[in-house]
This record gives sequence, C-alpha cells and structure tokens, in this order.
Amino acid sequence: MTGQKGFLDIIKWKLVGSVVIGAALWFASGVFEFPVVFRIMFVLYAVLGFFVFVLLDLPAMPELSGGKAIAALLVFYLLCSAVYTGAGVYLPQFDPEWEKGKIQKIIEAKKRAHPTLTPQELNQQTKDLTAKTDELMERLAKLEETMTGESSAGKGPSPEELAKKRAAMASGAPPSDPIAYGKDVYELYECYNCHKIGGKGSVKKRGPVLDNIGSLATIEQLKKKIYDPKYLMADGFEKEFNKGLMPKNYTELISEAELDALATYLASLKNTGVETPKPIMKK
Amino acid sequence: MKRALLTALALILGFLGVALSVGQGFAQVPEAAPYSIPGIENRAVVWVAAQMHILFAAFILGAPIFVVISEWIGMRKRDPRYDRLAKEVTKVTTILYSMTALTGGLFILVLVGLYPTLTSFMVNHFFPIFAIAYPLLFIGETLVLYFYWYSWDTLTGEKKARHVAIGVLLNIIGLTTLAAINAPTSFMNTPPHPIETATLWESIHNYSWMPLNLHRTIGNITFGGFITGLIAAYMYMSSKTPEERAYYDWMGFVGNLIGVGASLLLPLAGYILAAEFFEFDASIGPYMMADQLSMYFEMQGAMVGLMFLASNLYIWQSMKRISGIESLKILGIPSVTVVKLGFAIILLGNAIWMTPHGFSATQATATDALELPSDWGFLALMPAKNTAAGLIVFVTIVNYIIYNRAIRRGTIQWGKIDFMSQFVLIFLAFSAIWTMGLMGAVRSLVRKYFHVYILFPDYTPEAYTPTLAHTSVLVTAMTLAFFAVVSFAIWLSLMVGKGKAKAS
Repeated sequence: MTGQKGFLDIIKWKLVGSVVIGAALWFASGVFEFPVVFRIMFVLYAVLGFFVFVLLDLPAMPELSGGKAIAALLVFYLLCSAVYTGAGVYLPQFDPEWEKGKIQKIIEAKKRAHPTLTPQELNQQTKDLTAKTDELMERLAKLEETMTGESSAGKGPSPEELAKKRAAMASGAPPSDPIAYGKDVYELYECYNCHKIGGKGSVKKRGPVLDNIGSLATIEQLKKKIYDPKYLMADGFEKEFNKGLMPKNYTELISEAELDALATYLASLKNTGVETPKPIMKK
Repeated sequence: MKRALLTALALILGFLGVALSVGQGFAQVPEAAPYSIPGIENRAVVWVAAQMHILFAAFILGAPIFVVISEWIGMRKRDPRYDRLAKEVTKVTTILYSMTALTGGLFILVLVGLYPTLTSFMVNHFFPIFAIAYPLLFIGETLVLYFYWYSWDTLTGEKKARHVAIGVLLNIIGLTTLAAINAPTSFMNTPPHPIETATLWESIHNYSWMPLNLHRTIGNITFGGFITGLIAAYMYMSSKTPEERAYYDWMGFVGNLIGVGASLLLPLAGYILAAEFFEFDASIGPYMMADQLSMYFEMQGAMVGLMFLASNLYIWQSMKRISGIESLKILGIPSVTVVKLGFAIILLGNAIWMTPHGFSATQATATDALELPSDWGFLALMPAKNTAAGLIVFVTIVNYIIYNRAIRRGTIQWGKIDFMSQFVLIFLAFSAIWTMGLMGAVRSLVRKYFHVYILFPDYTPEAYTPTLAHTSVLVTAMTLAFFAVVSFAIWLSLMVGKGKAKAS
C-alpha cells in the first residue's frame, strides 16, 4: 500500500507531525498546570504515536529462516524482556520498609500475646528483617539516583530515621505517648488512603479531611465510628456513606489499645484553618 | 498415555497422603519450623511454582474450548484446516499437560514444605475439594484428554460428531476443575464471615468465586488464542512450502482472532472481579488503585494498550495481503485512511487508559506535585477509563468489519503476509503471558499481609508488598521460562519428524 517509499520518505512527515503534537501537548499541559511528570508522559504518547504510524507504513520485512530466524527470535525476546522489566523498574516504587515496620509491629503484638514464642526466634527475625531492609534501602537509593541523577538524601525518611523507628517498634515497650502511637496506628491501617491530614493523603473524595475533627467529635464518638462505620456520617458524604466505603472489619483488625490511641490522636487534631466536614449522628 | 496416567495417579496419591497427614502432623507439632531455601525467599519459591503451574494450566484448560469449536466448524464446513488446527493445538496440549501436572506437584510440595500451617489449614477447610473432587476431576480430565487425542484418527467420517462430543465432555470437566480449584483461591481473597459458622458451600461460593471463574475462563481462552498464534508463527517461520506457509498464515489469523475476540471481554470481567473485592472490603479498592498496587495497574494499562495496538497492527498487516483493499471505501473514505484514523483513536484511548491520578506508589506520600490537577482529575476516574476501553474495543471491532468487507471484494493471499506479522503474533503471546503474571500477582497481593484475608495473618518476613521492580523481574523470568518450555513442546510435537512424515 505504500509503494516503494524510502525510509526517510516514510518518517519525515510523521516525525514533523509527532514533534508538533508533542510540543503542543507539552505547552498545553504546562498552561493547565500539569506536573512535569504528566507532561513528560504526554510527550511520550506522541513518541509512541510516531513509532506506530511508522510501523504501519514500513515496507514488508524480508523473510528469515534457519539460524537467522532463531537469532532474531532470541533478540526479540530479550528486547521485550528488557522493555517490560525496565518499565517496571522505572515506574515509582512503593517502599516496602513501611510495610515491614507494620509487620514487625504485628509480630511484636503476637509476641506479647503469646509468651511461649521464644525471644531468640523473634530477635533473629528482627535481625534478618533489619539486614534485608537496609540492603533494600541501599538498592532503592541507588535506583533512585540512577533514575533521577540526584541523590535521594532529603527525600522521605532517612535510613537513620527508619532505624530509630524500627528500634522503637522492635523494643516491644508499651507506647508512652498515646498521640504518637495513634498517629502510628493511623499509618498502620492506611487511613490515609481515604482521608487527608495536613495536606497528605487521598486526593480522591472517599473520606473526609480530618484536620479539625478533634473540634467536632469526642474520643468516644470517634471510637464508635471506627468500630461501627454506620454510627455517624461526615457532612457531604451521603453517597460514600450509603455505599459503605468505610471498612466494617476494624473490630477484627484494630485492638482496643490501638483504637484508644487512634481516637486520642484524631481528637487532638484541632486545626480550625482547614475545613473539616461535620459529623452527623446516624445512631 | 500409560506414563501420563501413572504420573497423575502418583501425584494424586501423594497429594492425598499430604492431605491426610498434614493436619495430624501439625496438630502434634504446632510450632514446626518451615523450611527455607538459601538465597531465595520462601514467597518467591511458591510464587514461581504457582505461576508456572497456572500458566500451563491456563493453556490446557483454555485451548480445548476453542479446539472443540474449531473441530466442529471443520466438520460442519468440511474445511480440513479447522480440524488440522484443532489437532495440532491438542498435540501441543498433551505435552503441556504433563508440565501442568509436574508444576502442580511442585507447587503442592513447596507449599507443604515452606508454609505448612497454611497448607494444613486450607486442606482441612476444603478437604472434600482437595481430597475428593479435585483428584477425581483430574483423573477424569486426564482420561478424557488422552482419549480425545488418541481417538482423533479413529473417530472420523460419520463418527466425527462423537469425537466432538468427547471434546465437549473434556471442556465440561476442565471448567469444573477450574471452578473447583478457584474455590480455595478466591476464599483466600474473600472468605465468608463469620468463618466459624460458614458451611463448605459458603466457603466455595464466596464473594469473588464466580467473578474469578468468569475472569479466568475468558483469560484462558485469550491466552490459548495467543499461544495458537505463537504456534502458527513458529511454524510459519519454519515452513518450506507455499502451502505450509498459507496454512500457518491462516492459523495465525485464527489464533489472533480468538485471542483478540476473547480479550474484548476481559476488561469487563476484570472490572467485575475488582468490584467484588471492593464490595467485600472497601479498603481493597484504594490499596489496588491508589496505594501500594497502583503502579502495578499503571503497568497493566501500558501492557493492555500495547496489546491492543499490536493486535490491530496484525489486522492491518492481514488487510495488506488482500487484493483490491486500496479501492475499498467506508462512507466514501478510503479504508486505509479509516484504519489509520482508528490507530489515532486507539492511541488516544490508551493515553486516557494509562493516565493515573498520580505518580506516587502510595497515598502516604501523595502530594500535589505528583497528582493530576484537580480540574483534570476526571481523567483518572472510572467513567473516563470505561470510555477509553470502549473506544479501543470499538475500533478493534470496526477494523475486523473492514477486513470482512475487504475479503468480500478481494482475495486473501494466504502465505503472503508481511513477515513482521509473525513477530507481532509472538509479541502478543509474550505480552499476554507477562500481563497474566503481573495481574496474578495483584490478585494474590490484595490479601495484603494475610494468607487468608483478615482470617489468617502472614507473619513471615516476606509478607510485605514487593516493589513493582521486583515483581517485573520475577514475571519476566517466569515468562521466559514458560516460553522456553512451550517452544520446546512446539518443536517436539510439530517440527520433529515433519520432514520424514512428508517424505513417507
């Protein structure tokens, strides 16, 4: 369908078109205040479009057989593997350190609840976990440096901070500061997936902002809400409330001590500068 | 056949032994320390064993569905190509069946060795499934599959309908086996509540059982179709005569049609499965789409987008070998222009499909600098995603309609397709397997730090969500391993002795 066009003939107008579209996407997304990472993604769509339209008009590929076909296949498999693995490595990574800390906490809670487990076993587990964590952190830092060309220092918790956190978690000592403990519980059960405090957390409308919840609800009310999501509803969240978005299983997941701490932490949030939906009692 | 039956019997007896002994053994030694393999995490060992088993199982369960349809079409149309396709795919299936049994056995052994308490719990909870239903179905599947294969050249002519009936029976047993083993799998994701009073049926018929049955059945057909395309591509590349090349060109087209046709339903089936997870526990939704697994879905979006681009590229290359395509017009516009416009729409659909709400792998660190501007947040919501998926599916269907109109006017020159199309078929098979591995990991990881969600916590050091990088490396390695075995099976079953058979 393309006749005997040369390669340059095939690509020249597509290249011009892709550059124009890519540039238009770059500038338009800038005008609409898209973050740089999205602007780069839009330009990459234009690049993908260029390759697709070139592929459509390429002349028929010469046939391969025997050793050449096998070699071409092997190269093709390696290329696919490299592209897919590379994409998986390049996309933002979740830092397992956070979750490992949580698991350590669960193990510690189990240790306290079941004294028959030997401390040596748990100590060994903690040591192994720490060693693996440190190794992973190093790898992540190197990976980040490779990808961005910048040092990871100053981004997220430092290895020292994480080590401190780990030590605190592994100590098994009963938490002395209920608010700090409650904040930990908030993170442990990933409340940030649906709520926002201090500008951090869910960007979608799933659950209310909680910055000033301490001025609007008591500790007891908050405790009841966590264990029984139908107890109260945040103003303006009728749809989410009726859909039952707040998980019902916290009675099974969150212990009484954790619930006390979480409610105490939430009740301490009294930032009147942030609009926080009012609770409406349902029971 | 005897060897295969003996292997199956040995595996089943071994499994029964494990089923009967594990519960008692661990009742006596409750704190038995699991084994660990130096240099590799226990989770990765089970992951690899399970994923390899699932890949082989998906093919041997998915392929017979369209094999029997192909055989039936061949019988009705009296077109020997359909029967040949069905027979060649079944030949590869019989070899891969042994691999399914072997990897299944390996999976059981590593589970017992590395996760004894969990295995004991699952076997005890689903004892009638593991000890009675599954072994019986497995034996039935083995007998019927080999009977189906070995009676191919005997049940011909007027007896052909009987052979098709055996194929139908094979599929009934296959789908029942799939549903049976999906019960404990889905139970681990969405167990009934409260478990203490749940009956066996309630454990089987849990929230995600039927959606998983649906998703896996469609996924297996898609997978089988793309593997058929792979078989055709290998055979096309090794063909020596124009007749062989024409046949394998046709087979590749049919394989791609099956793969693409079934994959059109996959987004819906996946959506239903995810919706059931969400219904079961609303916290799973953000965990998948906004938190730890969000970048897995970004990767999945890229893979699905690439696969639709590739399958439409294959249709384009198929159109190029139809004489007179240049003169075909759709609503007064040259068909070639319409198809190219379709590619622009697919690219747009992919762009919307792939645009995430943000480039952070957890909401704990989500900031405005990494999120869509609030006015454009709709791009990341389900209505936009559904529209994008609808656009891509619509263009794919339109391309097939154009193809059909073209072949009514012109003649297909089978065997004259652009050689690059064979790499497109291989790419589709590779990408389908890779995506299966990735999404299989997602289905498993939504259990978070539980073996059985909420009921059975995972206290092992590997209970955390692995990074996408780690998963990508593992999935790529498994895909390559699977390809190596399948390539060997194709070579062994269809290429070895081909020359001799022709000469004789």
